Amino acid sequence: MSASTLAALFSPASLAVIAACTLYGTFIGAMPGLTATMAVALLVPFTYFMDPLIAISAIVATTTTAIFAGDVPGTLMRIPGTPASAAYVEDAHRLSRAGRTRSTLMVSLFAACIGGLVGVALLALIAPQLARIAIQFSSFETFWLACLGLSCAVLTSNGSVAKSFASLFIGLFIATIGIDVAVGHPRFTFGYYELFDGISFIPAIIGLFALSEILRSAQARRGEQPASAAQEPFARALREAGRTLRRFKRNIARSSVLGTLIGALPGAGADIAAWICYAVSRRFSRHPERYGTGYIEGVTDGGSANNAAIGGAWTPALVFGIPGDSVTAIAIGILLLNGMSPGPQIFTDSPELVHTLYGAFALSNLAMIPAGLLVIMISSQVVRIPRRVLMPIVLLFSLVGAYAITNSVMAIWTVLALGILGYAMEANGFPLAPAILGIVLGEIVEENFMTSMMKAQGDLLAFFERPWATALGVLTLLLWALLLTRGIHESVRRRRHPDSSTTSQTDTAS
Amino acid sequence: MSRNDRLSGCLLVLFGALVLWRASTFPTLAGLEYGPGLFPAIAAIGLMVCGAAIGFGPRGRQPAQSTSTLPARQSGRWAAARPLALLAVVFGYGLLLDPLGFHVASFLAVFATGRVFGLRVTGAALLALPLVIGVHLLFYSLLRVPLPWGLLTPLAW
Repeated sequence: MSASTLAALFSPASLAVIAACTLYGTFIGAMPGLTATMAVALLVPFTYFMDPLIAISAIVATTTTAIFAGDVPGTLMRIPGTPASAAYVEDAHRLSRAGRTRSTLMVSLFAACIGGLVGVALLALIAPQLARIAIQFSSFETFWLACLGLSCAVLTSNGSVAKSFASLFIGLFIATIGIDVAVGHPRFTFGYYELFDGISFIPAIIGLFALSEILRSAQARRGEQPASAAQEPFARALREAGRTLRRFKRNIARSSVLGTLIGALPGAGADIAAWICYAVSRRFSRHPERYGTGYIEGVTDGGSANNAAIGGAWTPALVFGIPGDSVTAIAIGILLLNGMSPGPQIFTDSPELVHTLYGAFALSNLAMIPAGLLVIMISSQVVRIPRRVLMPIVLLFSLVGAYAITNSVMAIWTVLALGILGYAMEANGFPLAPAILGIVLGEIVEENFMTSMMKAQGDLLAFFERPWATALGVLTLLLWALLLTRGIHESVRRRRHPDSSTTSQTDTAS
Repeated sequence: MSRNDRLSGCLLVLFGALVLWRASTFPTLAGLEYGPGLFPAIAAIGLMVCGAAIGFGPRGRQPAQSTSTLPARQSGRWAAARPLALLAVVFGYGLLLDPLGFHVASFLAVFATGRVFGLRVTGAALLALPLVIGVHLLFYSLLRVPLPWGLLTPLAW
């Protein structure tokens, strides 16, 4: 890391942003019903006005801490603050009921910090190597990579195959709105000039992730579960957490590495990583029967895996410009708005961006410890802030934030339309992640397909002529075949057992 | 809202058909058989196939999503009415933002949202006023977003 990058990272403005975003992420993550993705969606309008390097630091700091803080309401109230905390919420909550709230949260905090640091170390190690290969890629390879990213998003999502694909196609359709890349024909704009540039990205994600959550929150029950009252003394909790961490250091190491690798798969984010690592942990544990009954081992695994996955998710984003999860999809959108296109050339063209990213990761994982300890101290007060005060604030920030990007009321309509869409999708079991990847990747897929077709003059076989393109193309086709069989298998199983559960998540969890 | 797969499947098929019909009217690239209509058509066909699989495939009861970040849903009329009331608030905000201006429209929106979530009249007003001032300082003064003044234009600075 160069001295100028270090100087930029430790500049007062950058440090202030990281500190503010650490607190912001901790707070939003700790609120039941406000997820990490929503925290980023609300932050985006502000990043639009920042220097891109600081904007990236802000996003990194917010996600890192929000994913950890999701454990707070999960532990106290059995309501995971973000989906990434869902895998081990049962264990964490039962420990809290047994009077071990603080030590459980501290274990999860330190496991998260270690996981996050391992995640960024692996990212720094792997990404430049991959970039060396990726630099030779042409539009053919990029096309296949984007297809691969889209297919992975379906493969790793929580819903049924048909619903995940439907979500993906909805995203792809949204991406086609506006002037087309090949000949400049306006598509689905209905004469509105404001739609010629396409659906604005930031209002779209605010609608999908923020408004839909406010709507769901409005429907939720008013009376909330009481938070556990019993609290251990701070020092004793810290000692207890230290003992647990030493005892399960192998679990943390394994889940940090595994979590990073899962996070690096396009479309699989922190929540999938936590589910898989929790399941793996149970399989290798000496006490598998104690999982789900308030056993700390699974918390160390899930807690480190979900934070490790955040770092991992940046690998495909930086190297190929293919987002690893919803948050990196948003981050890629911001970089594109700032005129930087992620991809292998970013390592040579703007190394300062890559180095700032690593630095911001390391720094925010360390800053998370004091912020996390603070929130652990006051956790029972934080989770009790009433939704009736919080939600109007979130709504106003969503609307003004969206308006600030386009300075037109069209942003409000976009938020409204996509908010309804996101709410309806979630209420009917359609996962949102494939849709957001479809919106981001749709344009990349189409642009590279059209460029390739013009180069090859309409010869489809050209997509399999270059060695890497062949490999990626075959991999993509194999993945499609796998998804098709899984979809058929799913429907056959449903025909035989109409009442059995069909989500892949239950499969991974069990 | 119940998980009505047949309805959502039908809607997807219908929507896909509409998109496909629109996409078929787009021009094609010179020398190629396809153009701007290709990707919308792919998305449309995908939506129709998925819609058919969801709506008319074998029936199965979907389990509740295990990643829920909120307490269990409440059934009842008010529970369904509250999201609709919020949508009305957002819709009204979009309509009134330019004519009334940012400050008045935002005050009304926060006030109404607070009421929907169960705040008392004074509580909602006490939340809305400082919040609007805070957002004004943050977005208008600090980030220099040209928020519309509307009714309050004579007071603008």
